[in-house]
Amino acid sequence: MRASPGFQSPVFGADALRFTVIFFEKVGQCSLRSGATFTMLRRIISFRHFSAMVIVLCGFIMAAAQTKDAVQPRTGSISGHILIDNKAAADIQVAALNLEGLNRRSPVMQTKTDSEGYYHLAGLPPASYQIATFTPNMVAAEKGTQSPYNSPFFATSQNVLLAAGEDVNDIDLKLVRGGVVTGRITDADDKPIAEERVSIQFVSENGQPAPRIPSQFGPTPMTDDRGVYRIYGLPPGRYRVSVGQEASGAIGSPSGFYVLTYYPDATDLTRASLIDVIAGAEVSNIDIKLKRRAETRSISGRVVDAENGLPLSGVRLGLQVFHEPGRPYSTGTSATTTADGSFTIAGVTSGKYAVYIGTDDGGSDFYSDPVKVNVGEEDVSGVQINALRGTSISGTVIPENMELKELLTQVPGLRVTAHTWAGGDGAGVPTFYSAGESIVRSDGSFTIPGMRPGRASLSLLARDPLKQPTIIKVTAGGVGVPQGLEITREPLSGVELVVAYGTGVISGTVEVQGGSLSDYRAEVVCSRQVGRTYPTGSGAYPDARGHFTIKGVAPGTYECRMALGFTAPPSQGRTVPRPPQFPPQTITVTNGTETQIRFAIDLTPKGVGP
Amino acid sequence: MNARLRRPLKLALLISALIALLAGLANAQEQPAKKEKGSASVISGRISSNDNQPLSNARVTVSKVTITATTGQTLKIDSNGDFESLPLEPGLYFLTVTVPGFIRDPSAPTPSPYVRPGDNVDVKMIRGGIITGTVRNAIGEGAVAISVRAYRVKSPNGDPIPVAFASREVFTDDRGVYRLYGLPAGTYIVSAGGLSRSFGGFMPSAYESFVPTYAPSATRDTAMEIQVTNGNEAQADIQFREDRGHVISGTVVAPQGPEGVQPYAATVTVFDLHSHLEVANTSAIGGNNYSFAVSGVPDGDYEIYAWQGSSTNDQKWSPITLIKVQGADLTGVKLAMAPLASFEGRVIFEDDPNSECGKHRAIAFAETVVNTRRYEARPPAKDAAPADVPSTSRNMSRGGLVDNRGAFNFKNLQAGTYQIDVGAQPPGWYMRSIALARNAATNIAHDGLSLKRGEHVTGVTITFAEGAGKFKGHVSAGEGQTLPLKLRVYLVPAEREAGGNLLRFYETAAERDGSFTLDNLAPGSYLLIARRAEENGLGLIKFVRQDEALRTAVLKEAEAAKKEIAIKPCQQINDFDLPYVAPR
Repeated sequence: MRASPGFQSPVFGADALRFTVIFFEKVGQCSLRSGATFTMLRRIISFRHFSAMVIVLCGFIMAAAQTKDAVQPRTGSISGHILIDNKAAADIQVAALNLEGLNRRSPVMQTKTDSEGYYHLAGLPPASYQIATFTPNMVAAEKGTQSPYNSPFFATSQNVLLAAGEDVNDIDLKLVRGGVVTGRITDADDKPIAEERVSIQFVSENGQPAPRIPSQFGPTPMTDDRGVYRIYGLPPGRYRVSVGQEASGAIGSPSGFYVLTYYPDATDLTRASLIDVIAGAEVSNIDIKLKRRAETRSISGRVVDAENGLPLSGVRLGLQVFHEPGRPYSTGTSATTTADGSFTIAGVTSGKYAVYIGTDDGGSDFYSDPVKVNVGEEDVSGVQINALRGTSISGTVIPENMELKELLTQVPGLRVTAHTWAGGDGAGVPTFYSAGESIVRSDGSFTIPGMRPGRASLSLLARDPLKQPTIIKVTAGGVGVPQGLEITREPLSGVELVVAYGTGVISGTVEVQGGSLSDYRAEVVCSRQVGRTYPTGSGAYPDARGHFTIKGVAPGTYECRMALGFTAPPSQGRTVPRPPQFPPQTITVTNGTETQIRFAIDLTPKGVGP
Repeated sequence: MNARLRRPLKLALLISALIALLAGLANAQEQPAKKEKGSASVISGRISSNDNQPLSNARVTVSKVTITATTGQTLKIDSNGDFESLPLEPGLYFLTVTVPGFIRDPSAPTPSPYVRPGDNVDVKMIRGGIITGTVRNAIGEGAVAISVRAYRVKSPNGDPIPVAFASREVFTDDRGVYRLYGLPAGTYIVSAGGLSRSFGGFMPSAYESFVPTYAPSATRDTAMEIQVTNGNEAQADIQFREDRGHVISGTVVAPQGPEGVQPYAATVTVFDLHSHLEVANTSAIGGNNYSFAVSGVPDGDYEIYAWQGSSTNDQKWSPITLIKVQGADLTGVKLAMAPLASFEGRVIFEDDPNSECGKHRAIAFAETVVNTRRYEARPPAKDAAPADVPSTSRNMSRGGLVDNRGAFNFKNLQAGTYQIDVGAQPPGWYMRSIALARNAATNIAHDGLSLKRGEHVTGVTITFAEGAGKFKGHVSAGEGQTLPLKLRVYLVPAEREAGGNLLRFYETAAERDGSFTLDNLAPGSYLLIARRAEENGLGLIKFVRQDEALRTAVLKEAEAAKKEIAIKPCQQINDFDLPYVAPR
């Protein structure tokens, strides 16, 4: 990953998106190898939840990657109005969350709106803030103002980059009441099904599910002891409600599973009844009746050392599904071999699977090729996995603009982390990952053992999240490898990582005329122009007033551009034109100084369609 | 999501503590009836409600009884509620059953803490109690997504529960309604707001900076007591007070993994010394420089500490810091991590050619559980010097199987004195001695093993001898009398000179019908007595081997009762009648 200081809304940042992708593809950690606790946690909780959590955590870690002023500056204030259904909303809890502070998860300041819907948060030190309402039953009336970290406790937010002593007014948040869907889940004997997860999918006009709806990382919609569920804070729209697991290619509980059933009792997606939710209204009696629990199967076998045929104990197995293209990804097991090398993975439904030695979290010296297993109506036994010893990546870290000793002094505990991946041909074959890391020794050298051959990406990680150097060039055998490394079974040595580290600041404004960018998410991205052979850059999102700042930038010449992305799926019959493109600007950054930049964007229609 | 993350950790700790405690109580329990059909290498059984309905949505796991927590095997269960494990290695296993909304039927016979391959177990569950209500904010609207938890402060018979842990945390819905279910009967207090346990370290919530409000609109001291009975709903509405609490913040200092690897996080716990509630549990994340902040803390006296696990099960804990919160936030709390104490040793089985009744010789280690217990006879006096051990660790027990060479290793122990005992052993063997190899002068069987912070002691040897007796009987109430609850049977040596040998003292809990079994008894003469269990000030049952005052009292009463029995090597005594004499 790039060392990415300066994100104001990290969970929605480009890196976070990349994290999301990575997680759902199951690298299992955000380049921030976190040791045993992480591994332990990972085994305790389901992968899906884990991913969600890690995204949040990575958000934190990245957000904390900012530099901090040592002097006590003057405080300022932020104020505005909260409107619900276009009316002033009294008694709404509003918080200022500091995106730079180490304890960013705690609101720096919290207040309530008065009878006019007015709030005033005073005594705020200069920082990058997120102003948010604690209204999980509401949704944003406007796009581009998502809930912080997708937290279930908020509805909407605005970012404000507050200067010392500044009073920022009119930071208004507009909300509408979300809809509610509630019902009861029963089994074939009409008995309530307790603690069963209920899924709700937003269905857009063309029938495709939306990528995300609010609150899905929150307290998971789950039935209570009476089989009753209640999902609130839903944006107006059309939904599909379901319970259960896919009948094939799913990894679940050995104790059986309920087959995926859509409201009211359809096991076929096309026969699911759609539910129309309108703002502030409750749709009740969305009851689902399930059939009997279906039985699951098991896969068992043995892991032996490919070199000598001896059984290997304590090896953790991974399992993936060979799925139809486009089918949701599913995985998850923590089966470990016993003293005689044998293993049992219980709780799978019929389908095609790949069993392999799990190397996703760097916990194993071994890896294996995936063994394909077809599960039908019977348990599968006798699967043999040949364990291969992982290969290694070694090399040297070379600071670009300072002495190595100085870098290691300024950035204590610097580590190089590696991820490799193999497979993933896009035709349903899963991707297999491994991860590893090494401390950078005093001579700059590093060695990362236990890696699976495949394509590799390297990143740097410092112990202090406020000081993250950036890799600007990678060479292997003296040749630049901008597209990443290819790792074979032979150990790879002589990798050189040229890294940059600095304390420069890029700040500025984005000014929009003749239109609105509210259909898009604007991001300012600055990347090194000279000497850059490895994808690197830093970015920031402009705040509610178009202000942005990127801290911890290494000295050099940068090309900065305004990039626009979509914020939310198009809906309500509206199509959003492709975002316009803007020319880049070139600036020079030096250590300890702030470089200003201004983007003036004119959106006045020129008589040309999108 | 984080609910999933934090709760299992917490639960695992709690459960392992409970299990270990149960194991400690189970010196002599009858094994479950053997199944006629089925393989001798599987554990099977049935889960049903007390009205005999199958509970096929149960989650049943078996896991090997080990000193450190291990993940178990989740079992297949069919629509009749019947379950069966995959083939298992010989040994002792824990059987864990969870059914949403249900608890173990408290009126069913006390289950054995361990099961063995070949056992068939009938598990009876009963619907637990429910507390439901609405939380309202200052303008009378439902408070949305506020965390609610319940604390069980009294058992159903009214005995106070000295250290109350929170139930699982639930969140109100968009109407402000919450519902807590599966609660064991008893007296509860319910609170809303404060730092969320499941989201606290991760996501800010609207009510985390406020002091928790207890039902109906009270502080902890004036909280309403809510009676909960199994299968019934109790109502507890809460008017949220919006009393702003204080923040305790600081950092966990230099937790360092091997080779410079940065551990993911440390857990910080805040314990209220006045109300004996664990008020907060939050994470100090490595990616956030191990800083932490606990908000919504009311004025009071607290103990705060941090701890951290590792893949090798070598935990680090900070010493506890005692803090007083009074009218202001408290910043800059530094918690320095350090390793805890540990001890290791082994068990030895000594053959005796004269009494060849020792069974399961080949798998003896797989059936031997060693326990250790840190025990304080009474809570510290109010004005006592601060201890450096967290309140929740002052009384703890842990146990597990020895390995296949008889070795055991207890890690992560707070400083203090640890009694060593055996939780299970194969039939026909009895524990003859516990000794510390390097220091013959120390009588650790009697005095326990003293550990300093970070100390590592090796060479603890537990010797088992062949020829143990077994003893089954029945406590009978006199004419017109009933047996008291929590009845225990004590067996003490009749020979005066053996009074100092704690390993000759035995005890077991009697069933409701008065039946009891004592096994793995050293041959010799004994005095028997049945009496009500005694508890220490923390609600834990006193053990005759560990509590000197109890031992003296039991010896005296047993001598007065004059109920004597001689147990010869390998002897099995059945149908022994022990009259219960109520204390005057």
